[in-house]
Amino acid sequence: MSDVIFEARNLTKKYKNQFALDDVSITLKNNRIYGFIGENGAGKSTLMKIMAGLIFPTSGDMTFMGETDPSAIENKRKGVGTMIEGPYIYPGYSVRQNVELQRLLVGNPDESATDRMIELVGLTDSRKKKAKKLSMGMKQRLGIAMAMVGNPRFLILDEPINGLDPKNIVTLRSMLKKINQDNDCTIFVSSHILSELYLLATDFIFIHKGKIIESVTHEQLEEKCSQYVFVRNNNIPETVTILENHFPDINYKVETDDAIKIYGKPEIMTELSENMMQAGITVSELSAKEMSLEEYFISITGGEKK
Amino acid sequence: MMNLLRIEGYKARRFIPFYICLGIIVLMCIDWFCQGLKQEAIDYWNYRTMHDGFAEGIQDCSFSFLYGMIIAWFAGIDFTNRTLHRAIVSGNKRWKIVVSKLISTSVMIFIIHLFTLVGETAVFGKVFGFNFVGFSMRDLLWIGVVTLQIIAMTAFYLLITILCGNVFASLFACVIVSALGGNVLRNFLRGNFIYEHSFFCLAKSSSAADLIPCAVCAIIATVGLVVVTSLIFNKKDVAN
Repeated sequence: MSDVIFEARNLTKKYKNQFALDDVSITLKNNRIYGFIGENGAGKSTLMKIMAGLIFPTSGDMTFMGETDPSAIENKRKGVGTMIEGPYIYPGYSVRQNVELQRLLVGNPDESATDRMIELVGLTDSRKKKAKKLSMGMKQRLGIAMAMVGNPRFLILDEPINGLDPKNIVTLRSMLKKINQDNDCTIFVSSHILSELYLLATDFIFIHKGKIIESVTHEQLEEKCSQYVFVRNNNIPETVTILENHFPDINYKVETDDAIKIYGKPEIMTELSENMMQAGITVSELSAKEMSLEEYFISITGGEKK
Repeated sequence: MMNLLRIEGYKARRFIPFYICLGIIVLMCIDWFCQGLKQEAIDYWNYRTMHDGFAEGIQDCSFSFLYGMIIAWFAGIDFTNRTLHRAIVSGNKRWKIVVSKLISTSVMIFIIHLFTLVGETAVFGKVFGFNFVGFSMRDLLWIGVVTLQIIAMTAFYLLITILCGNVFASLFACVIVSALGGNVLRNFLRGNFIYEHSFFCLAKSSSAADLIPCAVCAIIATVGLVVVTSLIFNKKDVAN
């Protein structure tokens, strides 16, 4: 069996004159958890919908579980669990009916899977409740149960922790890790709560304005997140001018009236310090600090600069 | 395919508008049954037997707009609830989704039509006596051809629903088209060969001159419409 579960080559999706995806190429390997990170409208859901077969790319090729033919890819999707932009639920049906219908749809002969999944997401007490009467968090959990009822080899989850309380976020995280390890299931998950994604994912893919801008492992990201330069002084506009003139490739973010963060290259500290002194700027703090995943994301997507 | 059919059947059995339609038809038939037939109508149309009620019921297109509504509602709600997505992301081929919806909605429409047929036959039976004078094996053939026409009609409204892509637009379009095609056009195209043998107008008699063109037209329309619907659906982004 191939080590690659999904591969996209030069995928493009165009709506009228706008590119939702622009020449996207990614490779997802078996048994990994991919954190998919991007701003709203960056193209996350578009790529997920193409993977799930809901929409078609304008151009480009895909390999899905070793298949390249669209018809064969469709067949392989039986082994995929999906939740994109919220769960696909029948609002008038109960929790159990929704999961049971999904079990039938994916052709899982194991009748006990329905109740097992409901129990796994903690909805046993609400199994007879109509889906439309569930809270947002409970609907998310129902969607996750439905995505997993077919024992998928590949899970595509778009914002699965939206609306979940802290306890359920922790439960979901451990559940996804368990599925990943026990079932050799590849998980492709997006979230705006990057700190949570950081605790879950083994790999990270960053998308910005329809383009994949970075694809790194957890270890590589830890290394990259290591440092940024923090500057506090009495003349931030002049500091910005210095950065633009002397370090045109650097990303930065103005934090307050007297503070700025400069991402990526701590080695510029000495030269920057000299330049600020020459410009008569009084520096009260100049230090290298560690970045969180949020800060790293801002740094690679351009902060305020790009 | 069998899984899709099981699910469509499950949904159809719990589809409340279907039961409301049946209820409306039952109530109307009960009312008609209690009132009986007007003497002017009996004299004008020369009604004589219960079989005349069967003949009237089987070609009755009065509820055409209800058929359009049921099909658009049942198929369109899956777009709006995004439950259609479930079938797609679960690896089912789109043409199979179209065919399973065609089968389930056709069964519902056939049952509604059967209620009309039985109701009208019963009304005539009450007036002229419950007997089987005039009934023959050809009537079974007639029911078969009307069933084919119902399937073709369903395929047509299903195409409109897939084109619209949401329940509200498809309800609006299907009810308008079905009321125009099944009810209004009858007044203007009476005697028009093509219209009277299309799926808008159910077969008028059990004679071969009616059944053969109706059956041929229905089969061609069904196959053509399913192919066109599948081709359109195969290219359609289900993005909402």
